[in-house]
Amino acid sequence: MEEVLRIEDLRTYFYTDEGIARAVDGVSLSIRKKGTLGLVGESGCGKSITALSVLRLVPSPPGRIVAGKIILAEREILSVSENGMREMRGRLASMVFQEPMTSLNPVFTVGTQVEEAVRIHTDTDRTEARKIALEYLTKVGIPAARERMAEYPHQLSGGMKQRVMIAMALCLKPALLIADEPTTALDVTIQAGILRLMKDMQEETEAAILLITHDLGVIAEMADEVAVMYAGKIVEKGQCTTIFAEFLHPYTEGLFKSLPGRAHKGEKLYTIPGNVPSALQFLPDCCRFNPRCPLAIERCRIEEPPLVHVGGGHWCACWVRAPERGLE
Amino acid sequence: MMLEVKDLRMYFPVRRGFLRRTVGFVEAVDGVSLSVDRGQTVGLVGESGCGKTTVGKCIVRLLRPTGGSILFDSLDIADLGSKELKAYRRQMQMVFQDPFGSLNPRMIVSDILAEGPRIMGEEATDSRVGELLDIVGLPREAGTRYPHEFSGGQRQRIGIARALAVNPSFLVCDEPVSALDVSIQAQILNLLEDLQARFSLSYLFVAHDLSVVRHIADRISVMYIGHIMEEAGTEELFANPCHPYTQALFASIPSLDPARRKGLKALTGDPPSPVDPSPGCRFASRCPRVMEKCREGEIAYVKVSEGHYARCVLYY
Repeated sequence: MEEVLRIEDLRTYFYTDEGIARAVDGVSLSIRKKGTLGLVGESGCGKSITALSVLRLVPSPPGRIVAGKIILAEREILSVSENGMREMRGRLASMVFQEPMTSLNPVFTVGTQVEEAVRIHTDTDRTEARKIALEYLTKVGIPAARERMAEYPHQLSGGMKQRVMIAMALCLKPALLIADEPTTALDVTIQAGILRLMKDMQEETEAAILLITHDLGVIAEMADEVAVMYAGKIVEKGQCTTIFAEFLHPYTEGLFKSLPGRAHKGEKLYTIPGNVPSALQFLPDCCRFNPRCPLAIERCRIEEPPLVHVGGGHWCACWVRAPERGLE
Repeated sequence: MMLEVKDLRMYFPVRRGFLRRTVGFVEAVDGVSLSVDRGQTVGLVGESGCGKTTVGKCIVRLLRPTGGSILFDSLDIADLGSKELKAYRRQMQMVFQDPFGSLNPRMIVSDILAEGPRIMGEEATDSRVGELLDIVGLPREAGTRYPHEFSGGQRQRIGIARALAVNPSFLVCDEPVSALDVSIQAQILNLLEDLQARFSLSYLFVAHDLSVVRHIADRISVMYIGHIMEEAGTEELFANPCHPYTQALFASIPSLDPARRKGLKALTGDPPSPVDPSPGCRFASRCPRVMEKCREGEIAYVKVSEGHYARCVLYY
């Protein structure tokens, strides 16, 4: 199956007054057509910056992609001009953001906004664009879509707004859909509908999905492959079923074990000691998780562990759990 | 019974026009009853806008309820004035959801912790402040720093220490972990459980995350648009959810096993507006098992089995 997105050794740094924040520091991943990659991690681990880098939407200054390659539908996008990039956004890759409340423009009707997306990126005229907008708003399950097109975002509920966002992102049939915490702001009963919708739409448009979330339940439900990020680096990746059943990295282990669903009432929850570091505090030349790791050995403090293949497409970066360099 | 809430109602007027005339009421809380025993944790779950936070705010009397009674140690505090409330607040404190917005950014931590006792007319000594920091697992030096110097989890610890400063016996925890990362969430949940055992505290734990509530609560009440829909012991509720809303809620939680995806069942429709709701069951517009009589008049709250209640015509 063909690869839609390939990221190689991506480094996105932020040059701030307090120093250099290495928010994304050597991330490599790839997604195939119709595949869904779940990118998991806690706040500040760089997962959203990875996504913004793919669309070249990192606020600059202070942010800058300093190294790496991003190949989207067989085109290296870091060398494309801004105009060329604008062409590619929407048609090749589009994004659904976390907050449907603030990602829609409050002074235009939702119909106009979806229509605008179509017109900017294609040669269609108004009537045609309107037809496409209506088609997709209907597809994403907005009841009475024709009437709803004339409404403003504040007249829609959160779930409906997120549906509009998805319609807008998919109406140009992009090869890649990036969904950054698409359901975090929504209630679970609404979340279920949105996740289902994303899957159905993926069936139809054959898009690859990069799904960013901190919610392991959402990952379990949606993803084929998972990459776990900590402090700007991928610490473990592999097939979704493998990671959930045979996680290796102590950080992944901590994430799973600290979920309240697994312990019984009265039983202590497993905790990862310490705090989530901010990008300015990321440690150089060592395992960035070592201050919080129960297994840390001397080597973890002086040398950075590489991401090694431990078999079956399962990769892990840990001196203790994946010490030997396996098959490349 | 330590806390007994009976038929609590909280209506907010909706005002419109130049004269700001009242054109209707948001029935945020409409006839909620629940009770909490000493040392017990009761979970109040529901989706955003269902009124669960309003219930919490009424109980600590940050709001004066429209109707109903709140019995705390047999004293009805629903209608107390501010003087009498002071004594009551010594017993009852609240931990807030947002660890960023609930601490005064201009006060150092030791002042934040000493403020409660000071209002109660006591001097909070340095050793007491130090003790509070110990209790919640923060270093003593934290007292001289400002809230912005701390991470979300540490700030939530400060919020808990502030609540404990006046030695309360009851805490209303309003989504205390929902703004935190998973790895930090577990730390705070463990802390709350330790504190409960150590100081024999009672908790009303308001949250939307069912797995968190399942872990911490002895009993759970499920709320939907101002009404309690179902109430049972934690194990019983998860083993035998009766109300179609509770069932839908459980069915929409993703399982943590990718090998056995159940395919999420989504509810159709949006929740109705709580402004002057139509009579009958408030879940009727989304309920997969809705019947004619669901839309007629008040739905009674009936006993399904011992200690298990549901507001649904299926169990009449």
